[in-house]
Amino acid sequence: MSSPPGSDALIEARSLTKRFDQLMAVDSVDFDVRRGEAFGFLGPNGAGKTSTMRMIGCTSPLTAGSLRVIGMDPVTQSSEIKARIGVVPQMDNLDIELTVRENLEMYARYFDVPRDIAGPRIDELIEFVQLTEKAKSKVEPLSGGMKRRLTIARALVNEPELLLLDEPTTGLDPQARHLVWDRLYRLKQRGVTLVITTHYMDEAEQLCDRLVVMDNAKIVTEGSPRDLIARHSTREVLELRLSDDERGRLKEWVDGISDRVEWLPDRVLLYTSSGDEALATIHERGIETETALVRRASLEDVFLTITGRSLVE
Amino acid sequence: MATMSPAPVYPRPSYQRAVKLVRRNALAYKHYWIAFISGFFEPVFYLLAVGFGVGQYVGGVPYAGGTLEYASFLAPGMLAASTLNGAVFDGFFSPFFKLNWLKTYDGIITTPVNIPDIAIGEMMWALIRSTIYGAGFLIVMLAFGLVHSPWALLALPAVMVSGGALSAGAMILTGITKEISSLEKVMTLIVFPLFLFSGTFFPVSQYPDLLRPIVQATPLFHSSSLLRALTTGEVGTQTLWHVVYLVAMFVVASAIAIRLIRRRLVS
Repeated sequence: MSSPPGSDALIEARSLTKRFDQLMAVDSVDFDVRRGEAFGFLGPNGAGKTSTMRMIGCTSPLTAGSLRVIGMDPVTQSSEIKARIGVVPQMDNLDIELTVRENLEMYARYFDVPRDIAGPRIDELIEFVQLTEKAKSKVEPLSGGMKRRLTIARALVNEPELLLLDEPTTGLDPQARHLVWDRLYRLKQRGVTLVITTHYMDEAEQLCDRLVVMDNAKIVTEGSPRDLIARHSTREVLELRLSDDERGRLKEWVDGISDRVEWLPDRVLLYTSSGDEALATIHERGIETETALVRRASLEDVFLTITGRSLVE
Repeated sequence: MATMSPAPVYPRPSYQRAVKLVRRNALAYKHYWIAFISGFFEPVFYLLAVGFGVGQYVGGVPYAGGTLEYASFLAPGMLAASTLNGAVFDGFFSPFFKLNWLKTYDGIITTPVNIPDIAIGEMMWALIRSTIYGAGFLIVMLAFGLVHSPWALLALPAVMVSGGALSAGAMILTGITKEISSLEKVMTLIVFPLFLFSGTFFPVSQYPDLLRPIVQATPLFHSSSLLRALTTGEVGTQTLWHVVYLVAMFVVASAIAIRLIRRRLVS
């Protein structure tokens, strides 16, 4: 997926490496992010996603390799790069000594947004993230979802062309998540390039045009969510829960009816082009299932296939 | 092949960016103005209780070859202490919480404002708070008739020099402390002894010969001696050395503080 020189890559990483003392956080990764796309880093906690994001955001120096962000070098042009990106960190670090509106006003100042432009823009952003009624409130009494939305508004105060979102919906309830997703989708429509880290496969599928899967500091695969599923999984998955006895019986002949089987502690996953047919065969052979579910394959299955482990442990 | 990156190039500090931290603090203190004012009163209370209350039984203290009425001796010491208060509150307490608990700086460094800008901005603000406290205290001294010389006109710039040196020192403490228990250690083992023993409450001539040089090496000794010389008019070459010490401390301590804060924020 490396693009040729002169392409419109907004971020270009080659052999990008980050090491903390003995710990290899990011191990020589290559990737390109194109202007206008939503690009994801999917992987479990500790895979190196946040370290990669912080290098892109110029708050963490790279150990080795090369990185260009909006055509500039984070080593020598960090202030110039930071002026043109927005960052939504994993942990909210809103200024709790200020009100909602003051948070945005201060960040507009940090970004040198002229005052006459900042005023109306802040009004618009507060409305965009649906915090109009809370504009004069302090930060602390806000709910988790509201804080996240304020953090997103804060990251937009300089009208960035690139938005870095580190686990944007972790810890939010489903309703709050959908609201955040909706706002991010609208930003993408406006042409903002999104870079998102997540360990939620549904988030990656919803938001990302293209993604890389990270595990143990390395990129293990890359592509669009659909490509990845097509490449690394069958179309359907049959999920079974069975007793230990039935598991043993199933093991003897199951290879004949599915491409691949994952024996998880609580479930058995059968990868097959038709889940219903596989289930019918299993029932014909007299195996009793506690529960059986046929579903479409997801990025979770891609991760499981590649690494042999679940994404969320 | 991975190429090793060159040594990190640190962006040069910019005063325009540092001033944004000053504005941020001014905005925040609009919500906490009582806290802002309260720190001013502590040395005023000491002046009233110890200077005038206890001072009645003390009479005069030996000073510059003569005798000085106790309240007039103590007042410049408390003036120095008021600059210490401003420096500790906003060079140490507040940055300590922003750095370790509130993570305020982690957010700010994602903007074009860089780490040295933050450290410098916070020191500027602490210096401003110090100066406001010192200026207020000077007015109190004038009102109680504790200013005895036109040299006192220089007391305000001297207050700023003292506030700058102490703010930079406080910022070093911010750079080396992480645990909540450090707050107590710093207060009981550094700030409070400085406040009591730096020639603030009694002349350093009281100390045994072995101890005196240690006291004379502390910043608050130089600050209180400088301010006492100006408010009493006993100015000499010695006075200049106090200024040199405080300016040198400001320069060295702020450079160290910037490095320490950078080490804490870069990962």
